[in-house]
Amino acid sequence: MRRRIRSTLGLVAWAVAAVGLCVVGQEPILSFTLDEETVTISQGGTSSAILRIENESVHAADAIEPSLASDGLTLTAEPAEIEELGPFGTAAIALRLVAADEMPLGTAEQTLELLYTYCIGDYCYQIVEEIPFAVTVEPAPVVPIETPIEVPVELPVAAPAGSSASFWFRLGGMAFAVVLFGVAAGIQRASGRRWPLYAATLLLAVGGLVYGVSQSQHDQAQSIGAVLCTSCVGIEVAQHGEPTLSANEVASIAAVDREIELLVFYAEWCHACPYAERLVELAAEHNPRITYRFVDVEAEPELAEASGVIRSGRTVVPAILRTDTEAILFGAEDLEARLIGLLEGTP
Amino acid sequence: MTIGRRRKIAQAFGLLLGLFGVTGIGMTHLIFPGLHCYACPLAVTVCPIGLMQNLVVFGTIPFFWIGAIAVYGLIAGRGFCGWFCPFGTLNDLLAFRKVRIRSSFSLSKYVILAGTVIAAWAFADTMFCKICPAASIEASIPYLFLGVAKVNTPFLIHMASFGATLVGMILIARFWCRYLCPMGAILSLFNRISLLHLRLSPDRCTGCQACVPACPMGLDPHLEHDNHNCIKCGECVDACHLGALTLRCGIQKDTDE
Repeated sequence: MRRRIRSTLGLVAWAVAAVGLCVVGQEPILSFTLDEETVTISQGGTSSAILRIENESVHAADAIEPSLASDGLTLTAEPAEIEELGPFGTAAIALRLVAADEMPLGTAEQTLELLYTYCIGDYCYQIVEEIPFAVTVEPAPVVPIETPIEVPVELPVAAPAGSSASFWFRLGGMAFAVVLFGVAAGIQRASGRRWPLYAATLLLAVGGLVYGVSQSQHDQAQSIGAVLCTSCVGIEVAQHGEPTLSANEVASIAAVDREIELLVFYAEWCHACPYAERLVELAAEHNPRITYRFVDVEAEPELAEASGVIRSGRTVVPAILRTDTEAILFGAEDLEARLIGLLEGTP
Repeated sequence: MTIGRRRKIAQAFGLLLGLFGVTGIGMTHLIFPGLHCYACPLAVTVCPIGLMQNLVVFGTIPFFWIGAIAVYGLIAGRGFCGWFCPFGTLNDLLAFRKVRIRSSFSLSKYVILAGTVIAAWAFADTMFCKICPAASIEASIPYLFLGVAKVNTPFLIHMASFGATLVGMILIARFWCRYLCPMGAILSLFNRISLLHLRLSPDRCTGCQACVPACPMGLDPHLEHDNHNCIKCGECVDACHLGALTLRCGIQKDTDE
């Protein structure tokens, strides 16, 4: 009796796990911040605000689009839509609000709607988030003042892997596997025959391998194994924050007096890579003679190999290559000082 | 040739596969049937536990991973721990004290396995890899010499984890395999149906218990020959002079129990 109860509980646990695997997700992955909680606008005038977006997950968000349903206010966004925002990436959208001439004076609550999608493995979810903010309408001034629009920063991202296999097909497959093992275990318990268990396991093995290969999961496994993410295996601490430069560091970067091109090698799942990318962007902002390009090691393996971003057959990310000296930095730890050293090195 | 000698040859092959990157062939699609860090500069196979965590982070239903693990489980179950896994081989080299300890403690490896999955999901990161002692010797130390790693906090965490495991392995034979290995936990699920299995002939067994001190996993082989912890190393087979225990390859029968 006890064994039967344990077997039943085991089967229930399997079923719950199978369903759980299918329905996990649907949580918002982006956080939105408006620069100002209250936007002041004049009747018939325009006003701007910056919407900052941060991806707090390892999944790429797609088609991030703001909209505003309001009487008297019209929203235009630059860009109108962010196609992709990579794992732990940040971006900004410049919002321009135009008030109608007859818009009533005073402060009113408005709601900015953000629509985006993201995929976890083979499942995609659509998320709608509402950002409340206040709009204070003032009488029209003699000369309307416009706030300049800030150009949003977009980070390069890799598209999420996925396939078109249906939810029900996968759920059905898992349910079939659970039932199959349940029946096999039941036969073994009732008659002592073990061959149904062997057959079920063999079916699981062959089915898993065949379907997995058809979904290119073997390539996914190889690509995960082929790239060394320095923070993933605990070679260094992952840097998730925003890089900052001290006044001395900015001065050192600004003092670089030659044209320098940097290649920043990254991988989709690398946690330390966005930090390295943002730091290089920051350095380039302080010195226009520094140019850079982001290189996805999976998309451009030949370049990664030719650039020497390889250590004993393993591609190491993040890596920053200075093209003229061919000097390479690996990892993101203490990167500010090391990047300055890289930039100051003579060819 | 004794089973012990054959096993040493098989373990040498496991080590050879683990370090096959020395030939320069690069990473393959193969999942390693044991605990072997894919970040190792000479690895040509993917670590099953590292891959599992990545798939949890990506939210991929791991059909390929399940298929490969089922193949390994069906072939030998935990036999890979005893015959192939390089980290198991290191455990063997330090197996001075084949002590018997309450067997329920070995359930801790399932807790480690569950914790590995939950941590990967909760932190969206390969958390187990950061403390994995196999990664300590196969990735942290080599990359220190290759100039990629530095002596920093993650490195020291790795060294502390490896040091503690090393002490455990010296004090208790196969300490890692018994209590902590998540890959061992996965393979143990297949132990009762794996083709490679330990067989007991009850009519030959006199209960002399000569097999007990030989078992590195602290089992009582003549009573627990199909235990989830049995790594099928065959030490007990060599120790049994009556031929009551044999290593077989084929479908296990209930009549053996």
